[in-house]
This record gives sequence, C-alpha cells and structure tokens, in this order.
Amino acid sequence: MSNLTKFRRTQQWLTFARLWYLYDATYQDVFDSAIVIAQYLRGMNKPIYDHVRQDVGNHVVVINTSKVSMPVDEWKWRMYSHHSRYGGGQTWAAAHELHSKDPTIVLYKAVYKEVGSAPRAVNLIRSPTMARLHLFPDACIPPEIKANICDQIRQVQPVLKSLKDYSEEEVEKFPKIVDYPEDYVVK
Amino acid sequence: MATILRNVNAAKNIRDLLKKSIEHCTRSERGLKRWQVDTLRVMYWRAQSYDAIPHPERHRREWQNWNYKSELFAFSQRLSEKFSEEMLRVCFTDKSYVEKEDEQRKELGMPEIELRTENNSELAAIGTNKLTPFIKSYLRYFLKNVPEECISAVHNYLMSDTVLADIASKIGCTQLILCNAINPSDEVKAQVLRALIGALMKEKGEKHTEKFIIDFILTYINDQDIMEVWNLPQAEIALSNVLKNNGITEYEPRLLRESGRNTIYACFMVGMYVDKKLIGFGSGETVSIAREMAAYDALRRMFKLTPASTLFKFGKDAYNIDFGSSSQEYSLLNEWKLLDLDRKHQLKSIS
Amino acid sequence: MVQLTQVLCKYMPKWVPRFRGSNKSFMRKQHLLSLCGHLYGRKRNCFRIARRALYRTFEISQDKRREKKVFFRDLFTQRINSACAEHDLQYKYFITILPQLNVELDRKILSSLAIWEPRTFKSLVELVKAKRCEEGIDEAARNATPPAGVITRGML
Repeated sequence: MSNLTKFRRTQQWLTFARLWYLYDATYQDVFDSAIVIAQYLRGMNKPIYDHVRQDVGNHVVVINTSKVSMPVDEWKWRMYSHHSRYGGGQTWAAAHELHSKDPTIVLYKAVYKEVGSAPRAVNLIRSPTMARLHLFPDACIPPEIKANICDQIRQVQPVLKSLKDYSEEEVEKFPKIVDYPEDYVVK
Repeated sequence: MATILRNVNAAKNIRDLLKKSIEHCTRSERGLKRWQVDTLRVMYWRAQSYDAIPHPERHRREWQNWNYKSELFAFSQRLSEKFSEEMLRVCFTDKSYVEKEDEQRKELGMPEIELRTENNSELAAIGTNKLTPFIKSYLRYFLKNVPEECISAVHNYLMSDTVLADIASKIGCTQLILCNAINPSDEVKAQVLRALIGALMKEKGEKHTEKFIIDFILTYINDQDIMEVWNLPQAEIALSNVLKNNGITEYEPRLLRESGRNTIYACFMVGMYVDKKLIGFGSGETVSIAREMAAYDALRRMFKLTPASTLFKFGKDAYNIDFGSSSQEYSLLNEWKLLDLDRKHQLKSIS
Repeated sequence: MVQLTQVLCKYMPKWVPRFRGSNKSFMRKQHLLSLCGHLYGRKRNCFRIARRALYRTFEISQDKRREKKVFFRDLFTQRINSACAEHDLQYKYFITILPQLNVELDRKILSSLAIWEPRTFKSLVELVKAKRCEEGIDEAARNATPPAGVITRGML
C-alpha cells in the first residue's frame, strides 16, 4: 500500500488549493490595499506560508480600480517615471494623469512594489505572483473568472457615502443643527 | 570514484582514459598530473581484469566463514525465542530445496541415502490455522463498529504474501532460507514466517504464539489507515445501503465550498447531510471525486475508523486481553446497523 | 584538484613529488586547500589567495548563522499571525496573553501546531479570547462574547 492514499491525496489537494479572492477597491486607499492584496497573492494568509521553498499564493480579483483613492494631495504629487532607454528619454507623469490613461495601473504598480523586490528568491517568484492578480476598472468581471471566486477580502477602510447617494427623504430627515435665517439668501 | 570507473570501462585506450578521467580529477583542464597517471593506470588494469567481468550473484553460504548453525542460534536469540535447532532447520527448508537436492543426487548417480525430506509446508499449515482466527478476533476486539467485510479485508492484507514477506525479511529470515533460488521470492518468505508460527505452536503452546503474533505481525497495522486497507469500492452506493438498513432513506450531498472552478487546479468540497446534519465531508479536484470522498468520510465516521478512534493495543497491554470473547462474526455490510437504538442521535453532526 | 584526507596523506605513495623542507607545511596547505574546492578561480588553487578567501567565507557563514535565527523567527511569527487572523484574533494579543495563562509554548511549536494540529491551535486561541473577555482590557474585549467551552475560575 502506497503512502499517498486516496484520503491523503485529496487532503493534500485541499491544503494547497489556490483560492480566488475578490476585492472591491471602491474608495479604498491604493497603498493600504496594495499591502493587503500582496499578502493574499503571496499566500501570507495561510499558516503553511513559506518564505522561499513553497509557492502557496492565491488569486486576487480586484474590481472598481477606477474608484481607488489616495490620501490628501497624493494624486497631484506622486510621480511615476518611465524611461524609453534613449538619451533624454525619461518622462514623468503624475498619478492622476496615469490613472486617467489606464485606471488599473496605479494599483498594479503599488502591488508590484509590495510583492517584494530585494531578495533574489522573491525576484524569481514575482512575475508568477503578479500574474495571479486580475484587475478590472469597473464591476464587470468575465463570467469564466467570476465562477472561480470563492471568498472576498475585507476592505481596508469603510466606504463613505457621498451626498448624491442619499435619497431626498434621508437628507430631509437628517437632524439639522441650525436653520437658515429667513432673510438668508442662498446663492 | 564511481564516475571514473564508469569512464574506465568506456575508454578504448589509456590515453583516452586519461583525457576523460582528468576532468573528474581536476575539475578543470590545467594539465596532467604525473602522480595521477600511475593511479589511473593501476585502476585501468584492475578494471580490465576484475571489474569488467560479470560476476555471478552468490549466496552468503558460499563464503567460507558461513556457519549456518550459529546463524540459526543468533536468529532465535534476536527474537528472544528459544526455538530448538531441529525445528528451525525445518522451518527454513522450503519444498523447492528438497526437490532440488533430490535431483542433484540423481544426476550425480549417488546411492539413495535416507534424505532429509522434511520441509516447512506442514508447519506453515499449522501456523495459518492459528493466524487466521487470532488475527480476526484481535481486529474484532478493537474495531467494534465495522462490518465483517472490513475485518476480512484487513485480515487478508495482513496475511498477504507481500506483508508477511516484508515482516520475514525485517526479522532477518532472508539469508537463512534454504530454497532453489538465491533470493527467495515473497511466497517462500511468507511460507517461512507461517512455519515459524507453526513451530512456536508446537513447541511453546498457544498463549506464547499469540504474544508473538501481536508483537511481530499485528504491529504492522499500527498507524495505517484501516479504510484505505479495506479499499471499499463505490463508497456512495455503500453509504446509501447502510443508511437504508438503518431506516434512513434520504441523504443529501451538498457543495460546501469551491474555488477555481474553471482552472486546472479546481478544488471542491462536498458535505453529506442527513436530516440537515452534516455527517461527513470530502474534497477533490472534481465534484464527483469530492462527493465520493464525502461518502467515504461519512462511512469512516460511522464505522469509527477515524485515526483518533482506532486505537490498537500492542505489547504488554495486549498480552492479557482475552481475544477469544470476540470470535463471533459481525454482520455483513448489507445487514450492518448502528449500535445504538436511537440511530439518528448517533449520526452526530460534525462541528 | 583532488585532495586526500589526512589519513590517506600519511600513506601517500613514494612517487608523490616531495617538497623541499619538511613535509609538514605541505600537508598543512593541502588541508586548507581541501576546504576551498567550491571557490572560483585561483581562490581554490593558490594557497595565499585561497587562505584569504577561506577566512572570508568563515566570516560570512558566521554572520549567516546569526541571520538564520532571525529568519526563522520571522517565518514562525508570520505563520502564527496568519493562523490567528483565521480566528479573528490579533497576533500581539495571542503572543502576550498565552504566557500569562502559563502556556509556555514558543513560536516554533505554535506555528507547527497551527499547521499540523489546527484544532489544538483553535483551542489556544479560544483560551486567549476568554482571558481577554474576562479582563476587559479595551472596548472591543469588553463587548465581545466569551467563547463557549472555556471554563474559567469565576465559573467554578
């Protein structure tokens, strides 16, 4: 009788199964969510996680990447550089410019950084790890990918509602602290 | 060294040889060392004269310092059993060995002296007669909730030639066996072990033999998955039959979890429900495999064959147990029923 | 370069070229060179360069031996962290409260429990949760319901 029995084989399959997680990036900080996503991509959420020897990473499907947020003035001041490999070929683009061109690239670059760079072992696993990241600018996911998803990742911060999202009734019901004086002219 | 020798055989002449072996010796081609040449030359001629010739496999007894009598003595000392030497000789004599000796004598035209025609087949028969009921009653004593098929399957596994031969070789029987081949086959080894037990029955009695069987043969199932040894085919059909016998007509397999459905590493987990209670779950790469494993798991829990609940006793703990009380056969799988009268309570939900 | 062991060196054949002076220094050099087989270039053949390179490798390996401990401690921490997250407990509470309960297991054992005996690990986590509820250190701990099945002193 071999050591790998029917029961143990399926148990092994279950332990090392690659899981598919969903992450909704609506109104989420890019850099904070990148840390969480990178952890899931590398399989750091599993107790069997290993630095080097074993790749136990998961898939992460991120939706609504066009709605990601950055703290304060970060959209304006964060610069992304690109070099064309010719003399004087380096160009810079602000985060908001890049985001308007491709709504997934800001999150992609943030995750790419978080997945790790320095040790050689990490460098080798980085491209297959990044290949397991699926980014979508809106909530539309292809049905073949949607069928794979098994779980979701908790968002890093609560989703704030804008005034537009409240109905008129809710706005009227909201307790007012002061009333405008009768002679106050609203512009 | 092995790589050099391999090259020695392949090389046509000594110059060729030196070129090839120098790579292994120096790890870099930086000239030829004078002191290597002599060594390699000796090695080359040795390879031509000795290593290149295929030597036939020889039994240990063909060497001069082989003493069969002392080996037999050492064997019984190893097991701390006091076999008589005569009995041990019979145990280790296979039928094929006697036949071979007969033929050789006839070929040589030797006069017919009274030959030793005893072989181990009689003793083996005695051993088998003891082994079969004892193993079964031992298993029945510790596995209380299983059908008879399981008991006989585990018994057949333990009595199979491969297992007995493995045990025989591990207690050092291989070189002591007298048979017509140099390396005895599994059948021969198993026969010898059975004969050893038969010899113990004759010399030491029943109680002592039982201790021997517990120590050397039944320990083989320690840490083994009994369900896997049983290898129950078509678990789901078996589960539905078992539930029907217990008055439960309906069970429901449900998909508990799944991931990566459209990928090659899809993983599914299926649970088996009776009366909205989870009685077992299993996983697999397809739904059908997971379903089969769920039924398998439910049966395992019903028969109490989980690793935590199958606790055999060996050694001193088991010597004084009266296994004769459990010689009665269990019911077959088709008629098997849960022990408790209130069966639905026994089908506990898994937390 | 083939290096002989010290025992074999003693019984070297007569045709091995002898060095001027004593054989002792030759043996000493051979012994050092035998440790340099894995190095690159002249570091493994020339004694003076080999000696320097070898001492350098000793230094490096000493550093790595220290780093190894940190490396594994980080790995165990990471594993316990993820196992705690599965049960919705923070690592810092788990690792500080366990010794207060006289459960003196180190990170290595805890991480292997998390992998091989998840039920045992879960019971440890529940123990910690019950302790946190009992003490009521912060807001979250006071509001949480204590896990079932943990018997504390107050109950008896």
